[in-house]
Amino acid sequence: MRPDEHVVEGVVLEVREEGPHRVGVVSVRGAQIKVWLDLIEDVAPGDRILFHGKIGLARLEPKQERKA
Amino acid sequence: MKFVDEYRNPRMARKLVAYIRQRSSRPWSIMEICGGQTHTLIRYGIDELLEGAVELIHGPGCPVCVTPLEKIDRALAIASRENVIFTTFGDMMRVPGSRGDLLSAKARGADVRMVYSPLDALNLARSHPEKEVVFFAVGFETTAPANAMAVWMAAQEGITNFSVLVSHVLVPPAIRALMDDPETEIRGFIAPGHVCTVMGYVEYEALAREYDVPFVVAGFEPLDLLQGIAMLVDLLEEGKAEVQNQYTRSVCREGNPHARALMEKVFAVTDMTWRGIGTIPASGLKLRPEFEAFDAEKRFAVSDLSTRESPVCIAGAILQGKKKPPDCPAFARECTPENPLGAPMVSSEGACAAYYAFRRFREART
Repeated sequence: MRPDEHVVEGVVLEVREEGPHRVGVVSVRGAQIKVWLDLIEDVAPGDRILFHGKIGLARLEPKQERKA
Repeated sequence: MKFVDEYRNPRMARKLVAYIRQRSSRPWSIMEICGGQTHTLIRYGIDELLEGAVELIHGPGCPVCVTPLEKIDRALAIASRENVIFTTFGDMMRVPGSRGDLLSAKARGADVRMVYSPLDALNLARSHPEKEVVFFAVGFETTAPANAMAVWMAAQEGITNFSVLVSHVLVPPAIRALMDDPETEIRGFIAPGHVCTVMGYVEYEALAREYDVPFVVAGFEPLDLLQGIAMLVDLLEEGKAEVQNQYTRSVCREGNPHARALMEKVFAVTDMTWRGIGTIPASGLKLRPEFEAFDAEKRFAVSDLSTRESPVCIAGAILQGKKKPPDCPAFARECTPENPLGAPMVSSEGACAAYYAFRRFREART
């Protein structure tokens, strides 16, 4: 992960509670990064997520409509 | 690699290119908003593959590039203070201000540190209570949730030596400004996938109706963009001004409601100056009054800021899609990533940096 890489994709390895926060360990190209998961619902180990600045933004592959 | 290999399949790419070329009855001018998308288009030569069918206009979606010069000079002034640890993402380090950049300030002795997250900056504030820790909060809607989270956590924990220098910008008002230009040639937009991951695309539906232009939300891999362009060409050929979503694996219509709620709690919309473009009404974010204690602009009074842009750089015209980097007389000559005259040559999302990295030798031959 480069410091100027804005949004990063990774695989959640572990989810745990840390005080009031839900955090995860996320694997990105072999590196393990702590990511705050408070803003994503129902994240579990094995999920792929997008995150920015160590904050999870989306769980990938939601079932969404193609057309607005 | 999942979500990478399947979006870089050459056979599929050739099929999509053939489809777009066959479907276009005229050369359509379309803008990709996001600098990350610009880099993919240039890196893989997608603009060249579609020449004659689609003219790709590069948009202003590089947050570092549009951060106003005044804000960078202010950052340099704050970073130079004795008791300050100034933190920022890597690509802000070399963006030129009027008199130097943050990296040169660091070389002169300022405590400037590159971080991966505003939460890293907050950690520094926790571990250095004797210092003032400032984070340069720059970016579009994608970066705002992390910055809002840092401010929110600092408030919850009562951390008083942490503040943010906010320079947040919003995409939809910039599209409005581009479309209000009577000389615009843009007929459709590739909307930014990561911004829409956070914000959804409801706002773009209103823009599509207002300006009678179609939008397709797209991702960042070559096949994402080719499929997005194919969908956009379909809409243009059918005369439909609507919004479609190619990036369904990440984006839903309403975006991320938790991220939006946090942004709403911490930030309020404000007018914002865009470097090279000017002031766009309601196009930025500022801290709400209840979080003003974390506003670095209020905490550190800086006077006598007189900004000075390079007289040669045409970054403004490039950010508005009116010119391309090779049109600049300084491109790859006086202006290089090692010696940038403007922000688009520095940032990993800047159009000039993309052309320099992937196209400069070809441009030099022609």
